[in-house]
Amino acid sequence: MGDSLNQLVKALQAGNMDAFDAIYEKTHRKVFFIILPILKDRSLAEDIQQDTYIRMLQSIHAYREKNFLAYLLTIAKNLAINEYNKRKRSVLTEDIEFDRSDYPFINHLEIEAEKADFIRDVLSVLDQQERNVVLLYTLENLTHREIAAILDKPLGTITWIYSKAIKKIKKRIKEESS
Amino acid sequence: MKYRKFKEQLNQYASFSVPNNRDLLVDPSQYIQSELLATKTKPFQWLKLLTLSGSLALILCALVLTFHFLPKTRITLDINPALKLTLNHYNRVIDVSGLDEEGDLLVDSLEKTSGSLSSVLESIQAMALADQTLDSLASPMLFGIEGSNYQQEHKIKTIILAQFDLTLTPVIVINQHSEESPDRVYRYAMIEAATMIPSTGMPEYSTTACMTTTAMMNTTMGMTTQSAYSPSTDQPDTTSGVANSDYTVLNYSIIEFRVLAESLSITEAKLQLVLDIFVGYSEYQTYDHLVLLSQLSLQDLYPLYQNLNNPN
Repeated sequence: MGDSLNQLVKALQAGNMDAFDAIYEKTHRKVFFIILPILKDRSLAEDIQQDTYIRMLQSIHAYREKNFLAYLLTIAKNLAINEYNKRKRSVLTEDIEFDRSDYPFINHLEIEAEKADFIRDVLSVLDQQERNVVLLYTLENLTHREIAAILDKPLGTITWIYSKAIKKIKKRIKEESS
Repeated sequence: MKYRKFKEQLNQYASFSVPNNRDLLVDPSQYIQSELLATKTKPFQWLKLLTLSGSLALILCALVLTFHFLPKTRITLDINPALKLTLNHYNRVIDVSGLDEEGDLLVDSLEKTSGSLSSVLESIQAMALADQTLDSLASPMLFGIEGSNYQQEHKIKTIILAQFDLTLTPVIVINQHSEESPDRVYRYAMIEAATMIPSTGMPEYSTTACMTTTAMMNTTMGMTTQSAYSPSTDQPDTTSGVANSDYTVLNYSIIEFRVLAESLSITEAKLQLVLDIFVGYSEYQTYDHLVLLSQLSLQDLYPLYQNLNNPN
């Protein structure tokens, strides 16, 4: 994906606007996931998601780095943090350090009714962080490194959380089966 | 059920609802800055470059100025009176001051007290001749150079000798460092043990009869360089005819040497000249003789020194 994304970026820099559609398709979910736990507001996250792409387009002529996804996610994260700080000042909320890894991504999960009870039951054995890691890894095919960036945790922590979660799930499934 | 099966079901029946608002970004090309727009940012980049190069230029200027005003070498000039010249990193004179009252008067009347060493020396000689401090161009001059190493001192010595070579002015240049040793030269003298310099308040001198091989000093007369005396061993130079059991070799440290020069109210270069003569002539043996020699004018000392180096 990395290589093809870089090729798309080169095409976009050359003025090929079709490349933008492909870039958007490949990245918009990740961009959304990195913004959401910071702002904790879906509609606001959508706005910042749009702003991220506008900002990227405005500066694409100067882009010279090698990892475009990291570049895009950094723009998204910075815009989200700026927005968070702006809102914090305007509504005079208390300065509570937010832990992104505790954000309940499961609230945005849509499960078909047929298996909803079973899936929710298995996932219920996990704590919030474990659930986030498992869902992002399984459903979004994100790498541990990308999850670490989204949840603002070290890579090693994510790997450890994931392995712990798998053990719990396996145990739960075994109990269900028996 | 296995975990893999659960994973498959999770993928099949569950998904995150993530908005795809691509349609809301109508005509994304409007956001892309054209080359023309991109070049508009260039003045800002130029401004940054300008600021950067300005800062670098300032740093460079600061360094150059620091080197310009930082004293690097000191030269004493004995022409009765005595002057002190301070040179910077580029061997340019940055200050001239008198070492005595007459010296101050001479400095006050100087046309040039900064600039190239040659031009300042020229100015000093001209003014000294004008106010009859020097009798003629043939009046001897004594220079003492205090630099950081031999090479630097030698460079300055070359400038001085070249300056006075044309006017045939006899010049003695005394370095602080020797070519043989990177260490500062230690002066020595042999003075009768019973008359150990009482007025200097110096610590008691070593009475061991030793003389370091580094206790050599290059003195230059005119364009020729030669050692005033060069002991080849750690023993007193018996060939001089003055070293015997009645005398004690005094090894001066540089501090003791300075204290002695100060107590005699003469420059270090003149003290070395006096010590050279004191050691070189057997009739000078006591501290009183040393004091007497130190009080002689350069015009009187010069023939003695010349005779010492060219006995024939």
